[in-house]
Formats: sequence, structure tokens, C-alpha cells
Amino acid sequence: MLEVKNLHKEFVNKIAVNDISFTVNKGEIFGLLGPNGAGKTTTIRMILNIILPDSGVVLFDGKPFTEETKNLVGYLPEERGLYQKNKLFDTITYFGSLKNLKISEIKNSANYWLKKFELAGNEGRKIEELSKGNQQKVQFIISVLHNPDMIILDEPFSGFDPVNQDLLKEILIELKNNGKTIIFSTHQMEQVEKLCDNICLINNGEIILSGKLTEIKKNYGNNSIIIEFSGDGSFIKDFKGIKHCNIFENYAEIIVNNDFSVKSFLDEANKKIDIRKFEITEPSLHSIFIEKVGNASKVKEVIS
Amino acid sequence: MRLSKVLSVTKWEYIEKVKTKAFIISMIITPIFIIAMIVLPGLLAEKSDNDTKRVGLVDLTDSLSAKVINSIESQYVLENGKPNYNIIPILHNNESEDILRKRVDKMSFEGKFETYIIIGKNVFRDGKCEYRGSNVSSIRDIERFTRSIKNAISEVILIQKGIKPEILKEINRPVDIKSIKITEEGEAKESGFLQTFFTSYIFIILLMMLIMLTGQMLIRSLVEEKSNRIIEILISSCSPTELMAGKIFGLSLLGLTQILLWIIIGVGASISFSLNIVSLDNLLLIIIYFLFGYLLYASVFVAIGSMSNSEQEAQQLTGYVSMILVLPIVLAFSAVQDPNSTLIRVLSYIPFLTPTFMILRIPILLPPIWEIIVTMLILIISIIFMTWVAGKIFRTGILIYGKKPSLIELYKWIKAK
Repeated sequence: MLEVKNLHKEFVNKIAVNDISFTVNKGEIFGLLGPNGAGKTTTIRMILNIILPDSGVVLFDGKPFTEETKNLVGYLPEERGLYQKNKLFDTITYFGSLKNLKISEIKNSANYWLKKFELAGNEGRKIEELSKGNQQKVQFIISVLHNPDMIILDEPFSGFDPVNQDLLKEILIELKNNGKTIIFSTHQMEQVEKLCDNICLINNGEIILSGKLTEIKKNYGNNSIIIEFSGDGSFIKDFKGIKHCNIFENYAEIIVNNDFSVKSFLDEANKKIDIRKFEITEPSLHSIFIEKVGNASKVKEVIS
Repeated sequence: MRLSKVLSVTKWEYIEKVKTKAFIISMIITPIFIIAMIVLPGLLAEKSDNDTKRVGLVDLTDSLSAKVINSIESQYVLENGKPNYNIIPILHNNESEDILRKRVDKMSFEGKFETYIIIGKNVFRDGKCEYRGSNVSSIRDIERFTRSIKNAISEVILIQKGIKPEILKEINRPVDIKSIKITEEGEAKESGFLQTFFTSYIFIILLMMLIMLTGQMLIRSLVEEKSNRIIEILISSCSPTELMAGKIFGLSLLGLTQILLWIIIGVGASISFSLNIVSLDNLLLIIIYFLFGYLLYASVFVAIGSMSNSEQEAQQLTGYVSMILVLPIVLAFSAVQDPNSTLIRVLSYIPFLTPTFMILRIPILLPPIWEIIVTMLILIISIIFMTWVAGKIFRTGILIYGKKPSLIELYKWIKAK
């Protein structure tokens, strides 16, 4: 569906995207992950032909991405905004017509989506009269109005309350089941874990991890331990064989290496805390993200 | 470039802006403002008196008052048939002039008359008179009194030299100069100084207003699109060139709507006020320069809007634009007096000044054909060049947020492939 080959983009004094390649298959949800400023948005802009790469190509169905391809793609930018003073339906009509939709097609599609997002009846209202969440829904509608083959969503969940997040998740799964390809970029690893088939983790403009989500987790092995406890868990971080840990008030997630001994840990822990739950599992994407990105920045610190 | 996308943008830019309150208000207010500016001073100046004015007259020569009174009272008559002035002769008692003034000033304050004239003792030698009163601002009154006194003086002198008063009348017969503008086609049409002056003036002011008004609207919407990141959705649907073309077309349509409406209001107003303030010779030529000027400046505004992050930032730049636009208005007066001056001619070859200066020159004195052709060519080339530059700035500028580009950066944007 989409092949990104050796994309490279430099801005003044800064390499924004350094030789990035990945492939997105038809009908999958692809997660483009990375910390702020990693180069996600720049990558998306280059995919969409909004800015030109210094080198590299983007292939859509095997052909170079051209202006005509834009009609087949929907895009939800990260920072949200619409024409505040204009009416909802007029706004939708404008963006629909820019995707070469006929007015009757726009009407049908808009009715379908407005109903789905419980916005029917607001067609004549000005955008500024809508709540922020509803404005965001309108923006999402604009990105899917023309029934695109591929939808690129930059942080689609941010700004939505949990109810609407679930609604959006359902819609994304529905779109996927209808054969649409979805690329979404986010920091929210939870959503990625629930939705994505393949991921690509970018940091400082370079890919540091990519592949099938299940395989990535498998490769990390069962080296992750989740403990629910009460008491003072501060001893955990100094325990032998701990590679990385996240300790909260009565919950800890740790990643261990080969030096770690479950038995001696439990012996020690029994003296210090009350364990309610102890689970050896594959690591969460969150931990992988922290570890990968965290390591990278540590390495960078050492170099500098 | 695909026409359907360009038209979508054009339609949006036009319809959504035509509907805005700012546009509707300015569409109506601007012509009213201009008409008021032109019509009011005229109406006020031409307004004749309704009542007879009482004017005192002190004649220190003791030889002119009868003639002056006769001349003023018989010559100027109000519309209702009453004399315009009632001249009240005041005797002087050979007192000193200071005392005289004090005494007669007092009479004026008491309401015996509104103003008074003192014909100086040595008026035959130095021509000195005085016109005193609490309101002596009427240029027309002064002009009439001056003429009457002057005629009286001439009459006295001529009679002293033995010339008959009848001859004097013949000498004093006023000359009425009618200015007639001729064109090569041989048509002759009456045309006053004011008419040509106002024609240039009105068209330049209209062009300026139109450019500033629609330019501001374009900038406002571009800045909104940038700050809301709507621009990214737009550019993920069409190319920057299509977007820009659509915006310029939409803006031009907006301008045309405005002009059309102004013409309707203008024609309506001049019919209902029976004013003939605008000479419509070469109107087509003026309109062509008008449209070319509009297109040239539209691309400038596209460039300004795309590199600004806020309206305030854009305003600094549009300030310079309005200065360039105002320049011909400053020079309009001297252009009317000498339309062929080197300065005016040279300035009309500078692209951004060409439209306004040609509009200034055409009603005053139609420039030779070769000048028109050359300036048109200059304009067309400038429009093509500026649109190209604006396109380059637009393509990069709309996606750069945060800081205003330096001149070097702008140059890099323009040079970018």
C-alpha cells in the first residue's frame, strides 16, 4: 500500500528525518511512534507531499505519490483547528470539494458521519459554537469524508474524553475491517497496543525499532515483571539484575536481565513489602518505548 | 494545476468573505465616505446666503462710499429677490483710527451690523482696506467687496482723468473663460480643473481602499489557516500553487464585486446629486490599470500573509504597502499642474507605482500611446514575476511557524526548487 524508502530531510542545522524506510500493508493499522520532536510529523508531511524530501521516495500502491494521490488519502494534523467563523456544513463541503467530491456525495457522507458522532442537527452552527471535543470530531470527519483508502492520523486521541476515545477506537477498527489502511502517530502506547499491527519507533529522526508488534514484544522475552504490593517499594530499584523499573505507590513494572533471580527477589521482597500480585510477562509497549528512547538519550548524553 | 481544485478554493474564498460583516459594511461605508468627502465641501462652499447681510462701511476717503454701496447692493441679489447685502454707511468724525475702530467694533457687537469695511485713507495710493467683524471667514464676501471697491477706485480715477463712466463699464466687463478639453478624435468637452483632479483622486482612493481592504481580509484568513494548521489539511488536498491561485482569483472576484457596487452607487449618487465630478473619458483604460494594479498587489499580500504568524506581524508589512499606495495622492496636486513633469513620468515606470500614477495621469492628460504600451508591459511582466515570487514564498512560508523570516531566508525560499 505505502512504501517509504530512504526518506531524508534536513532543516537548517538539523537533520529532521534521517534515512527512514518502512512499509505499510493494505488494511492494517500502523503505529508511527516516537517522542516529541522525533520527526514523526515531518515524516507524515513528506508522505503526504506537503513538503518535499531532500532524498528518498514515497510509493503509494507501487506508484510515486503525486497530487492525484491526495484524493485517496485523508489526514488529521496534530494541532487542531478549523475556520472558527464558518458554518459546520459549509466547512465540510469545502474540504469535501477539495477532495473532488460532488455535493451529493458530500451530503451523504457528511450525514453518515455526523450521525455516527452524534453531531447531526449542528450543520448550520458556526464551528466556534461547538465544544472543543466536537470540533475535533468535525476534523476527523473531514479526514474520512471522501472514503479514502489510507488515513493518516496525527495524535487522534489527544483531546478526547474516555467515552469518545472508545468511540474513535471502534470507528478505527471498523475502518480497518472495511479494508482501509490507517497510519497513526501517538505517544499513547496503550492505544497502540490495542490497535496496531505494525509499529515503527522513531527517535532523533531515525528508526530505532520497527516490525510486528507481537514479535517485538516476543523478542523482548518474558523479562518483564509486574508487582502489585503495599509497603515501601524503594528497594526494588537497587536490586541486582534490574535493567529498568517504573515504581509507583503500590505498583511496579520492572525489566530484568540475566543476573536477576526470581527466588532471591521474592525472599527479599517478602521481608520488605506485602505482595498482592506478582506476574512475569512480556513487557508493555510503554516500557519498551521508555527503554529504547531513554537509552538513546543516555547514549547521546555520553557522547556529548 | 487542476481547475476543479482552484475553483473550489476560489468559491470558498469568495462566498465566505462576501458573507462577512466586515465586507458588507465596508462595501457600503466606503463609497458613502468618499461621496461625502467630495460632495460636502462643494455643497458647503456653494451654499448661498438665505438672509440679507448687514455690512457697515466706513469710508475714510469720503469719495467712494456711494459708488461702493450702489455697486454691492445692486449687483448681488438673493434667490428670493432681496439684496444679498445691506450696506450701512457709518460717518467718521475725523477721530484717530484707533478710536474709530473701537467705536465701530462696539456698534458691531451691539448688532447694528455683522461685519464692516474700512476703506483706508490712502487707498488710492496703497490700496489698503480692512474687513472687521466676529466672522469674517467668507472668502466669497471678501472677494465681492474687493472687486466693488476696486471698481469704485478705478471709476473715480478715470473720471478725474476725464474718461466717461460708460467706457468704464465696458472696460470692467467680466471675461468668462470656459476650459475645453480637446482630444485627438476632435471631440470637445467641457472639463473643469476640479473634475479632472477628482477623477484621478477618486480612482486612486478607490484602488487604495480596495487593495487594503481585501488585502487585509486575505491576510487575516491566511494567518488563521496557518495558526490553526488548517493549511496542512488544505495542502494535503491540493497543491500550494492551486491553493494560491484559488485565493488570488477569489480575491479578484471580491474586488470586482466591490468595484461593480461602487460604480452603481457612484452613478446613482451623481445622478441624484446631479453632480458631474468624475470625467469618464478613457474609463476602460483606467479600469485596466486598476485591475492590473489589483492583481499585482494581491500577490504581494499573498506573500505577506504566508510569511506572517500574526495579524500584527503582517500589519507592519502592509504599512509599507499603504505608503506606496498613498504616494500618488500626495503628488496628485502637482501632477494636475504639470502632468508631464519628469518626476511624475519617471515614477509611473516603477512597477508598484505604475497603476496609481497612470490612473493619476490619464484623466489629466492622456499619455502618448507608447507610454501606455510600455507601462502595460511593465505591469504584466511585474505581475507574472511577483506571482512567481509569491508562489515560492507561499509554498515554504505557510508551513513555517514561529518566527518571521529574515531577508536571507526569504531569498532562500525563492531560490528553492
